[in-house]
Amino acid sequence: MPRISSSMIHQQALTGIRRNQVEIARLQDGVASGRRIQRPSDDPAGASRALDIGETLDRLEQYQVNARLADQRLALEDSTLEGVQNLITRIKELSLAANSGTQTPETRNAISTEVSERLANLLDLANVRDANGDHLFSGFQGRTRPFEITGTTVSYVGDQGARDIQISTTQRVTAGDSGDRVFMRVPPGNGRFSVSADAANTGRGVLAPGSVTDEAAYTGDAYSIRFTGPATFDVVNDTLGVTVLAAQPFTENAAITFDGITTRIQNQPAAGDRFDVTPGGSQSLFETLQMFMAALAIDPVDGATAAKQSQAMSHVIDSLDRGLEHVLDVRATVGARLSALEAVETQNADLRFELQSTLSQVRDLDMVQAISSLQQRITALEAVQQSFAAVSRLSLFNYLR
Amino acid sequence: MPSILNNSVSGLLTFKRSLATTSHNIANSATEGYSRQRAELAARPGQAYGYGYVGAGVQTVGIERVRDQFIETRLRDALTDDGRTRMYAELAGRLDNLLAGEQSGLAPALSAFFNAAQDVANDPSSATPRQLLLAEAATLVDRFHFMHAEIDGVRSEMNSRLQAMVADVNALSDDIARINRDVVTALGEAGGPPNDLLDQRDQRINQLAALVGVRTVEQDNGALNVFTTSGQALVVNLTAQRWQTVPDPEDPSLLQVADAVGGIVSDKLSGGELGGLLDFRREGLAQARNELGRVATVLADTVNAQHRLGMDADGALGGDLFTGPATTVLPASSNGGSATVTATVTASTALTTSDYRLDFDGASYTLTRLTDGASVSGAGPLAMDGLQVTIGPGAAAGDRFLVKPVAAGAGLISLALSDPDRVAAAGPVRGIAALANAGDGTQTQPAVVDITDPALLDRVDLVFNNPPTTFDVVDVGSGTTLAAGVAYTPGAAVSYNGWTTAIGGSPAAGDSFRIEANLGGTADNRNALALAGLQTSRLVEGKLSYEQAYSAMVGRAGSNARSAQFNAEAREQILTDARFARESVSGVNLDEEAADLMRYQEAYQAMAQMINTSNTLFETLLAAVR
Repeated sequence: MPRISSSMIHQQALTGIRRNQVEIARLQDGVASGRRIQRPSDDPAGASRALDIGETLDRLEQYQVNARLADQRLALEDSTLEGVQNLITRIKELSLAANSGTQTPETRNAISTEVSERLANLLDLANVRDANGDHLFSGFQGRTRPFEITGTTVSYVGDQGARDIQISTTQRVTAGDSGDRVFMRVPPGNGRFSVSADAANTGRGVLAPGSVTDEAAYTGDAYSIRFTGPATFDVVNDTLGVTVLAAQPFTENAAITFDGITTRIQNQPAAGDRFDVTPGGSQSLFETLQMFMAALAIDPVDGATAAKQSQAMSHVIDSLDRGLEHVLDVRATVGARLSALEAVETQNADLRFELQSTLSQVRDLDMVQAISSLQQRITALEAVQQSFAAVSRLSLFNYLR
Repeated sequence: MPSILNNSVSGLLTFKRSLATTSHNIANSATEGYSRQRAELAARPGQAYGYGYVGAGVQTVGIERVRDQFIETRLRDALTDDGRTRMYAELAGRLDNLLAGEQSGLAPALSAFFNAAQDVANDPSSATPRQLLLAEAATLVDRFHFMHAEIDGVRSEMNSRLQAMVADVNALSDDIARINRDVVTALGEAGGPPNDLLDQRDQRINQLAALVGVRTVEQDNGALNVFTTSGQALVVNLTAQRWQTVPDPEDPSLLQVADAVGGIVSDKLSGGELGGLLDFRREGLAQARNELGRVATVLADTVNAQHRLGMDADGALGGDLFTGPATTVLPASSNGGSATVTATVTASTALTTSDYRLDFDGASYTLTRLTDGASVSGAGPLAMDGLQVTIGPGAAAGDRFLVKPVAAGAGLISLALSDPDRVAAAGPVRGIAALANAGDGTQTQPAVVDITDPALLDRVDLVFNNPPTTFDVVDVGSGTTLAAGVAYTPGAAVSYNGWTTAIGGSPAAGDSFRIEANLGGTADNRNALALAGLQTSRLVEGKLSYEQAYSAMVGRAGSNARSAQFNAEAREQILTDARFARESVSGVNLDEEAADLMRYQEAYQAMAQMINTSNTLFETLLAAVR
């Protein structure tokens, strides 16, 4: 049977009391702060995970800020483009009206005045600024007014940069387009090539816009249709300098087909007249409007000038269609970005919610459990104290008389 | 001649001595280190008569300490282990507390800095977000400094603790030597052992054991020689060997324990509070300091590298955002040569948290990673873990240097920029497809691959030939053709003058694409985006983001503290058991003493009664002859 010394009884009781007190202090600390992890040693893996999650949450919050900003910029771009779209639609109406045969120089003049006002409007729209005072359509050069008009030429002095904004760890959204892309780089004519009549033409022929009918044969080269006589013409590939079709008989409104291109000529050209087919290239919306005004300025006094006006009008109307399509294209990409943005915002919000609940699981105290443990400890401490008081009263000396 | 009276008197004297021993036990029942004493009784040899021996009473043959040497040794070892683990756990707890505050740690400052970089990317032309970025960078630097100072505070506090402990060790050694002298004297004078002196000496040795592990060897004269567990003498015969603290020869900011002649014994001490302190300083603290320093070093270096790839609001190329921390090279004070050694960081993303040692054997140098002993050798310069160590002439064989690449990192990082306009948010070059282009070729915005290329900002045109299967690269400023007839592959990288871009689609003959300096590019946020992107890049040893490296450090310090606590608790339990085992043998039980008291008192009273009986017998005899 082991011996027990008197000081052992004291020490044992004190150890028990001390241990319970330490545990009670720890539990109380937890209940007071609501945190399961007071210091990293309470749960090293949890502490490190809580930091990682905290960082991700901070980052997600920033992404939401970024997304709101991108949203603002894209919404501004979209509403600006809507204005551009309405403006082009109005011009299109005017061009159709102007192209009808009932116009007089006075009415054309009135139309021209409106177009000139609309051109100023378009310039204002193109020079719009965002909430921070940056020009929306100047590319990287936010402080530069991107579109300047000198004489009758509108030039773009921005660049082709577009600002990306980080909206999630892996995704960026382009919050804006350069003015170059929106206003300058519009395909003219039918979208593939544009047609024009030589300024020196004397006949009444008007070359139709035409189209690419055979993709395989289409070269993208420049061509000209040259009338060698009133009823014969050659088709020359100007890029390569070779004659594609020689001495073709001319029939009004009959299809002229070469290298995948089909077009036709209305009315009768004169010998020596020349029509050009120019591939690709860009024509700004401003140029289109200015061409419109130039076409309106022509007074159709005779067959040749009427043909010139008709040819120019036809190009303007076509180009306006392309312009409208182009603006719609850009608006579609803006819309796509806005919806992608919305999807990512939702995704971020979901992730944030999930991470917050994970963080709470990792870091927060189970209050019910903690309080019941605390109660248990308090009971244990009271038991030790009572038993110590009882045991320490026991001594044989009490009975020595 | 044996007689009742003689027997009674021997009993009276003996029981009085026993009662005195009992009262001594009761008096010392609360004395730390006291061993209960017991009066050993023996019957006095009887006198022989023809019919047999008649007893001659009782005598005290000795007063002994009740103790078990095996249990005493166990207690001593338990004290040593407890001292070591308790000290380690206490210090690990300090670090643990330092890293406890989620809001006071590095993580919120890191987040805020990178969020500020995102805000610059969101609105690069405004001055406000740029100012905020610099303010957050300053906060981040402050946070590094604060944490570094806290860790260094623990480090210098450990120096003073070490001094106090060495003073304690010396005081205890002195005491033991003094008690040795008293014991030797006492043993010469009396026959029995000087029990209470021996208890006092054992108590001192136990206190010493808690400070530093000890072994004892008893001499014939009764003196105890005391050594540390690894063999350093503390007390030899009647003399104490005094220890001292000296600066570390390689790192003078640290104190080390040295013996009387100045030989360093720190690395041989593994037990007791001293051992625990030295262990923690070597492992936990140095590790935390290096880990924090590495985050600072990698952050400064990688952020700077990215920032230099940008262009600021005034159109100048980006400079450093932070002043990069420097490495530390400490030559050993024992070095005979005069060589200077420098260590430079060549690839911060490869840095480890280890310190390195450079040894010169007279012919070649060896750079050793201290955490795992991996090494490289050669004539120098030596490269290892993103570090290049360059050695100047004049080294002598046996010279050694301690290389600490990141230890001071968190203390040395500072902010290099103060002008918000100098924040390089933009890319330095931009691409512009000519408006007159007939084809549908597109150009990606050029990215910088070599910021040091002197021609980086030159205006360059990529002009497509006829047919557009090749293009020429023309420097517009000088009119020189950098390359002619380069074959065109849609989407392939085109790199000249330190930039790289790509052309896609089908350009037409004569189409041209320009690359030029991004002057006026105030709304460009490409570099700010790239800076913000560093936050999630795995740049620390190619595995962890900055924040992850920090949280790993917190996790490691936490688990270190946790296991130290567990160890300390386990050792404390073992110590408690050992104390109880000793108490069980040597402790005073008052009930037992009370029982002894009664026993000896009764025996004393019975002896007195015997004298009365003897007296009565004598009276009877006298009356018979009267």
